[in-house]
Amino acid sequence: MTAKLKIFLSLGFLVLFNLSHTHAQGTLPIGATGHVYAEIIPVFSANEITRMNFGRFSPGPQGGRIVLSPQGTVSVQGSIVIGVGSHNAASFAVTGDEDASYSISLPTDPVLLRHTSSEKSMLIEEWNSWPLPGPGNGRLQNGIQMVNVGATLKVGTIHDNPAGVYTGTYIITFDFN
Amino acid sequence: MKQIIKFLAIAVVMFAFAGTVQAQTATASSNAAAVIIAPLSITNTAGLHFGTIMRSATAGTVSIATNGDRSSLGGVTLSSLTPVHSAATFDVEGESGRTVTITLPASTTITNAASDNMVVDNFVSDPDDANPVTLTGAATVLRIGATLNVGANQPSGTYTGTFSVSVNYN
Repeated sequence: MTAKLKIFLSLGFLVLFNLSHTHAQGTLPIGATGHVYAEIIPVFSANEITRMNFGRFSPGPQGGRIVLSPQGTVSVQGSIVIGVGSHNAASFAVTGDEDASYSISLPTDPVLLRHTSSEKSMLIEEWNSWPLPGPGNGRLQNGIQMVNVGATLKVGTIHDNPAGVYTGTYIITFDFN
Repeated sequence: MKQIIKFLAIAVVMFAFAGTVQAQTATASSNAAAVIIAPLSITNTAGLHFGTIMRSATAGTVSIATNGDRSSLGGVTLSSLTPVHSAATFDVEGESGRTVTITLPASTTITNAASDNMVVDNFVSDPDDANPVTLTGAATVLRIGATLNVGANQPSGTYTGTFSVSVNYN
């Protein structure tokens, strides 16, 4: 009688053990959802089409200023005399997404033009552009826009700025938001 | 003949003892079965962001590693403009010392407002989903990266989608 009871108990525990095992196999996977993001933008580009050129001129006894507008017109102040030859505003071709807007940033500090054969120099300041600089003023109506840039050149006396070619570089930034 | 009968009697007694021993062993198993393990949980704590990408006329891919590093192949250019890139993170919690298996999705599709889409695949995780991961008392941080397939002239826009990650006790 005792033996029979013990065998029964033993079977009972075996069933329990099997239940435990089944439970482990039946564990359901637990999941979580994550979010994926990506921002696609076109490759914007800006290329200089025409270099800024103040043209030929003579400073005269006092020197002065040459104002080059974004439209390419030149006006002079002081004793400067405009010479023969061409002058033009800088122009840049900006390309990207159709109707994309962007901002133009012009140099804020004066830019130096150096005489190619001496240490003499001139300053360019009062930069301006069309479209106007500032947030979102540029717009790529057909995926392209020409940006024209002008500035004012400060010219010294003939002693300060001897005849010759003066060159320099500047940075203009096109910012697509 | 008499000897044979005695032998049988002994065998019966031993069987009875054997039964007793087995019953005691089973009691021990019963205690083990009563152990309760903590439920598994997995919580998304950060999304997977491929950041800002400049497309071109050539298709390309952008990959986010599990440490959040970003790389590209083909005709795409990585931009530092916002939104910036990051790997996804999940917190996995469960019974300390237990191992779990991580299951990553094969792929998912993300779309923009104009219903253009891109496929995200080659999901990778740290800890690696190829091996069982042993849980600790604290949350195990799961970092997930993947590869974004950017088409030629992929339309601009913010693309979003979801993916599912699951864990299971071994």
